[in-house]
Amino acid sequence: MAPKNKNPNGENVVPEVQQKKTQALILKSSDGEEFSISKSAAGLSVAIKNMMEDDCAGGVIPLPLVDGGTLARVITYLNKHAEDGASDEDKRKFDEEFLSGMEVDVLCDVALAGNYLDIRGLFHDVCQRIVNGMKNKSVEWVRKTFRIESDFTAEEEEQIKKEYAWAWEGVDSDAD
Amino acid sequence: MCNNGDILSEILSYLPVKSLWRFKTVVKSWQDIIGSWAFVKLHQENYCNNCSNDKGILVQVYDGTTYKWKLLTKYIDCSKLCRQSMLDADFMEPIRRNEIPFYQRMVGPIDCLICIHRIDRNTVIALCNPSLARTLFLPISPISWNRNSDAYQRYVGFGFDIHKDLKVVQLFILDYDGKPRVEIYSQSTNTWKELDHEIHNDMHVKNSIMPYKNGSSSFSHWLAFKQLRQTDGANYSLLSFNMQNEVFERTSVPHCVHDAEYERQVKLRFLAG
Repeated sequence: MAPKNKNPNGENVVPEVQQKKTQALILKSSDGEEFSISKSAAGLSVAIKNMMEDDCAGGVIPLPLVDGGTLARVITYLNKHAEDGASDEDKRKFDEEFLSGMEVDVLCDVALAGNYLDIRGLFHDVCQRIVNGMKNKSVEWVRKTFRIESDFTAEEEEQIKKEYAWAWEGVDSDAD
Repeated sequence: MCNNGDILSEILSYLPVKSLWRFKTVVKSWQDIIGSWAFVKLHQENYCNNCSNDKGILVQVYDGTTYKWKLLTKYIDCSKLCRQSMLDADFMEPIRRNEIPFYQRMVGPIDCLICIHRIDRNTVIALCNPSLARTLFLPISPISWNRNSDAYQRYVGFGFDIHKDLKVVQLFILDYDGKPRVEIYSQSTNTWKELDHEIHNDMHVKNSIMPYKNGSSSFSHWLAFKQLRQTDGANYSLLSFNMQNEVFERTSVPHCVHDAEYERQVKLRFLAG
């Protein structure tokens, strides 16, 4: 850590660069919640950065496609990744813990938000997380988890299963 | 949930091949997504590029009863060799009876794709993702060539430029001296064009050389040699085609290699590091 600058009165002086970084703006979710976020953290989203450059809405950016709960999560992620002095290792650990508690529904919402706000790293990590949870699961588990109703007939399904039987080897049991 | 089709494609494109084949039976819309050529490209970017280990093997085998090559794949964690029926369909012109079956070449894999082509000019070039059993047939180059009767060797390379555009380059090396002919195909425009180049008349090309690992997919490479006087042996080099700016580059090889009398006495591979 660099030593803090002090002015002649012994007070801490925030260097100009940092002042610029800590300037805040407001993100407004689809359900009207407002969140304050530093410009440096918000700028990690390519979409928000573009909106900031266009200087729309005088410091309040409406995000009509992201609900408050999801936006809060995204902001937690952005804050960590914009933190001064957070090493890549810190960030990796944070990402791991950050995503590990989320259900598939929540992960999908975060994926949508990550895509909409163009935060590639977050989007990639969430996709990877969703996929890690489902790759060894059965077709029935996937249907249940993603609330999908099959439109295959039993015969059609049996036919494919017979032809590609190898893909059904070593599937996890649905119990857990 | 996740009823946004684009996002769903993205998520599924991070899945390993085995899961994808299973999840084709989740619902018909997933089957359509996984079966599309657009998905093949996404899967290549998101799964293949992040997958550090080789997960499967590909076997190309000639079937003497049907006169066709077959492609078979096997995944390391599966007990059986899994034949994927789509690939031994009629996607290449069948090899004619009594014809030597070796007039067909396989180049790759580069980023999960292989390229299969015959050595004669007016035949289809197929790009194939064997894992997902998807094949793309390139249009035959319409560029006319008034030296059709000349003997030549056809070499094909493929790769991606910085915009992820798939490019395929075909070289016709004439058996008698004459400037090699080069044509390049771009998937984004779906057209062929002839390329002006600096390869010399007396340059011969052998053996396409695969990059050591994915990520070097913006180049195609061949072992090239220039026959000097009979007594002097040949002059070897690595010939590379850069998909980015569409130019050839030559890299010299250690000097002692030039003592090799025949090109089949030289083999060249890439190393990591």
